[in-house]
Amino acid sequence: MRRLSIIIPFFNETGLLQAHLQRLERFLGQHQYLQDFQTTIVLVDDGSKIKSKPGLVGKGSLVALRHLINLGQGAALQTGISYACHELQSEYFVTMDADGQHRSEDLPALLDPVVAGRSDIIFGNRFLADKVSVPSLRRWVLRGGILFEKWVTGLDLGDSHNGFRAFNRRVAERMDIQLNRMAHATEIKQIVARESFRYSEVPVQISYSAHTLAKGQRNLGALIILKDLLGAYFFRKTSGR
Amino acid sequence: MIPSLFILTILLVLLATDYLFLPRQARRAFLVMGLVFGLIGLLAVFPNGLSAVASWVGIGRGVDLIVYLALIVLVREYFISRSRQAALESQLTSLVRQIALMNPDKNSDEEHA
Repeated sequence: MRRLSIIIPFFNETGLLQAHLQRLERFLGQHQYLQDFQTTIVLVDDGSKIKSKPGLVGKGSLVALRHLINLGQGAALQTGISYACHELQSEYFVTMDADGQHRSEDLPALLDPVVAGRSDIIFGNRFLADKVSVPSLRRWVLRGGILFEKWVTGLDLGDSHNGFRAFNRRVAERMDIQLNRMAHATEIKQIVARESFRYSEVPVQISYSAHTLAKGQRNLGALIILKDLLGAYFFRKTSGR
Repeated sequence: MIPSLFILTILLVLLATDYLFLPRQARRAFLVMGLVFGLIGLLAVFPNGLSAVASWVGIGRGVDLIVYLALIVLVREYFISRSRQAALESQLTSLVRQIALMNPDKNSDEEHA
């Protein structure tokens, strides 16, 4: 059996995460493709103030890790990846958002190129899907982001910050996310470019709920990402005097 | 004269109260700070000497000299503290991550998994 870890970082998320877990669990149990995997869901609670203990209903395998304080999604992802890589000895890795905007149904398409050995990492791309349901202002912000990302990372990807990814162990071993907050999505691409990993993207559908829009990255978030990236450029990996 | 006296009074009162409430070890550093303020105060009262130095290095007024020097020091301090903050954040991240990795909560069925 091939070992697969699905890493889901979350912060102050309860109802949507629980619903997402249930859908995921049902899908993992039903879908033929995923029967070949020994799947573990790795939840990373990034210091939530709301105390909750999301879990599975059935007999699936789940591990919950907890940051004592809130560090940001990038930090939580790295914690989950480290655990899956070194403790669970996973061969395949998937990262997913906690609010259910990524659909379990897209998992096989995302995983297949990695499992087949055609790519080291696959990024979900919401614009490749037939039914694109991105609100228009959001679409323009994302479009600007895509151009910027191409310029910064050199990777030719059509979706700037989509957290739905699948990758193999080689990628996981080289993953060293330093940007704790939202700019990690750019950093992951920089790592892929640095290590010359084979990458590609597959269409995924994003379900934007009112809640997702309110809670997820606001359009202004793009500016914060820019600030973090600049900060990293100047101040990263400097040790104190 | 009156405004500078006013400022000096506030400064002296603040310094005196701070000094009284400080722990003994911190008092030496505090005295150094007082010395710096005293020096600035002296320069404020006798600006002519400072102006001479300023015009010698090619800056018009003594006050400008102080402002330029202060700006250099402050900008330098800002960048040093940003670097330190970044280093501190990365140390804090590894610490929190290690604690998380050491305490996994497995509510799973091992045999089935």
